[in-house]
Amino acid sequence: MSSNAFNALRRTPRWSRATAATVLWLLLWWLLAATAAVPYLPSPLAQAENLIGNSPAYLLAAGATLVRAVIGFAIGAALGILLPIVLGYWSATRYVLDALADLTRTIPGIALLPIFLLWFGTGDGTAVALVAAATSFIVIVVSASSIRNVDPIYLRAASALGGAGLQGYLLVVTPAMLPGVLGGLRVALAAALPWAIAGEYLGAQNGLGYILWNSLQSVNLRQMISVAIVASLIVALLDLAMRAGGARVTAWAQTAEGR
Amino acid sequence: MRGMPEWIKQALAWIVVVGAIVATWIILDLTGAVSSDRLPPLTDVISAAGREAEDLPIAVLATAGRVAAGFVIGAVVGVFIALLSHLSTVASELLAPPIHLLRSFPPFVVAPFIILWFGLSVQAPIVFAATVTAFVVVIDSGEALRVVRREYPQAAQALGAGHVSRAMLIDTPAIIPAIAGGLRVALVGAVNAVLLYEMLTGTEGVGDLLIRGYQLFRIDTLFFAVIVAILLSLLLDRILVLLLNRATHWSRG
Amino acid sequence: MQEDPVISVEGVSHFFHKAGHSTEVLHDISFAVSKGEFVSVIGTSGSGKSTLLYMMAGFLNPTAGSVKHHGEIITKPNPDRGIVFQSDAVFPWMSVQHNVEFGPRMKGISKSERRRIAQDYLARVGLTGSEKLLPRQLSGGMRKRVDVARTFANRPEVLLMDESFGALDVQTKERLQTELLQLWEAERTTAIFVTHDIEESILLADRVVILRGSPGTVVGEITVPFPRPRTADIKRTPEFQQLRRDLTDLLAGSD
Repeated sequence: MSSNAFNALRRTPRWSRATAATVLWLLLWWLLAATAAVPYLPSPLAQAENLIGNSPAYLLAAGATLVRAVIGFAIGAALGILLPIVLGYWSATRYVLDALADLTRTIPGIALLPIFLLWFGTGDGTAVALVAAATSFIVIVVSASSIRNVDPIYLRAASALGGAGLQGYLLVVTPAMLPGVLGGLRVALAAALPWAIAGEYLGAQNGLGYILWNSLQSVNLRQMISVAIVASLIVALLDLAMRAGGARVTAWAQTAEGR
Repeated sequence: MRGMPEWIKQALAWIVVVGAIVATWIILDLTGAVSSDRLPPLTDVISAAGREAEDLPIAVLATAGRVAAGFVIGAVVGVFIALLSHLSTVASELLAPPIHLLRSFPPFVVAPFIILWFGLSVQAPIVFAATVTAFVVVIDSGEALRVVRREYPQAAQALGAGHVSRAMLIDTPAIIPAIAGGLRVALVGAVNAVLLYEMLTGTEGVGDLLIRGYQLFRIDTLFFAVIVAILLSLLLDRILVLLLNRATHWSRG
Repeated sequence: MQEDPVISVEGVSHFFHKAGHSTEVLHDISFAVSKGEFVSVIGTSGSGKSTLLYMMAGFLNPTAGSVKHHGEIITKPNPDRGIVFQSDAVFPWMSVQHNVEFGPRMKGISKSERRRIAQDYLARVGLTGSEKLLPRQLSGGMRKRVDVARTFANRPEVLLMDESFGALDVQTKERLQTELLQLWEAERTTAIFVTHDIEESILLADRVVILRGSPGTVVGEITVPFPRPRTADIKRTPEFQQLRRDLTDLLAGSD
């Protein structure tokens, strides 16, 4: 590229370059669809039509999936935080906590899907259980490392001030591990929706995963892409919400500690 | 308790964890707190192992092979895209929209698309695992490249390194310690991807073992298969950790 | 008869933009460096001297004015202009030998030849025997020696040093200054050495350029009259101390 063209390109504002790049990708999409280079691919316009035209159905399904994701997330998060806090109290069990986290980190959650299917059938239970399990794995690992990273000087300071034992531990460790745990919760929440969808592939009668799976059987790529778009949007929104909420909670935790 | 060397404490901790799980299992089974069609007795699971012993090695190898291939391809592709984006402003702006999409794109959602476009082929699970791995690695590597100390590429440039040399000899080694954690996470994702594919399509492997257990309503086979899956994932993780330690031995101390 | 300068700085001014407003860090800097000269650029912190060096290396382009190498404007880094940073730039994932071989490797020199070159320069900085070691196994001073050997091994036409010994303790610094003097006197590479250490600048250089203020401007140039080869003993001579006082005054701005 000649340096003059390059410099001219540099001077255009950032957002217009980003829009140009997006337009280029949409053009590529249109081209791939028009030439049928990618089998079954609908044109961007046909895709938008499907997305907007069926949006009530998608939103309803998204709602069902989201409910399962959130409930599973709540259960998994609670378990995932409580167990490490309990195990982190005694120095002996802290090694057990580390070993548990080491093991949990590598558990492939999908392997649990058939067990949940057998236990809960095709209602809401399977998807919720899968989300809960996956969430608890992530949160256990993050909580374990957050507890391990709490500067022992805080605990010593607490016991020096008379707050030894359980009270000191809870009052000091819980806020101190909060920033790390929040990061883990954000990851887990973003992952909750995909896990719910995975659970719905075989284990539900409605929801985004159910639509996605059925669309595959009926080779309806249009619907599949719409579901993917809706799922991505929800994950992005959840992440934004978590960031905003998380920032406030961490700020509170820091002022509570008087930092 | 205090004077014991670290590795003994860690080994003991592992024994406690496994022991606690087994103990809980046996207690729940013996007290009848959980019915045996929910939680099979340990003995049933062991006999299930005996039944499946014949087909097990092939299944495990098939799954492990797909995971390994998909993971390696995905990691290489991920690092390559991140490097491209890092070294060329044009590439980074062009790649920005899809990378932004990747951040929120749920990995499991890719499964039906893979099945649609690749069918029941040899490459399908590998492509799936590679895609899931690349998602994680691209973003992790991108961030790692941004925080590499700039003295390194600058010194390389002042010594005459071109773009390719700099990418391969400087940027890539520099980010390996930073992306090691992400690589381990990506590996579990790859295992999940391959298992999911095998479950949904009934392709021979550990995932197929799992779904067959469900289809035949054999809870004991299912539990056995889950244990196999966890052990396989653990083994692959340990191998990766070994390789990563060798690749980063220069950064300790 | 004046030979054409190797490096010439012509009317360079530079602004940094940050969060909406711009700060001027260099104002109308002009000076030249001839072939085989060792010039020290000395300045207070904030006077932009490192920025100037980065422009000579080609990492930065000046907002106004130009920096030229043999009359051609410098726009990007080039192996003809080697640089030794203040902070550690030795590649931690490569052995000492591979580090020093890096420049020749980029030039396409054969394996045996570049091994020979690396061993030669490592010997000159007193690191024979350390070839297979990793940087993390070396002290800060030794790593700095590897950095210097690596830069010299590439036979650059110009040597740029950015407060290269600034992060070392006093004894190691003095030892490295002596080693640099010996190495330089054997190679006579055109050199530009940025520092805030007045004694260091007099000890090493043929000429000292003084930058002062924020934005930095050239407030003077002083020729260093000591003959070569030099040793650290000259620091105790009255002429050295007088020069040091003059430079301190110039830097402090007592005029």
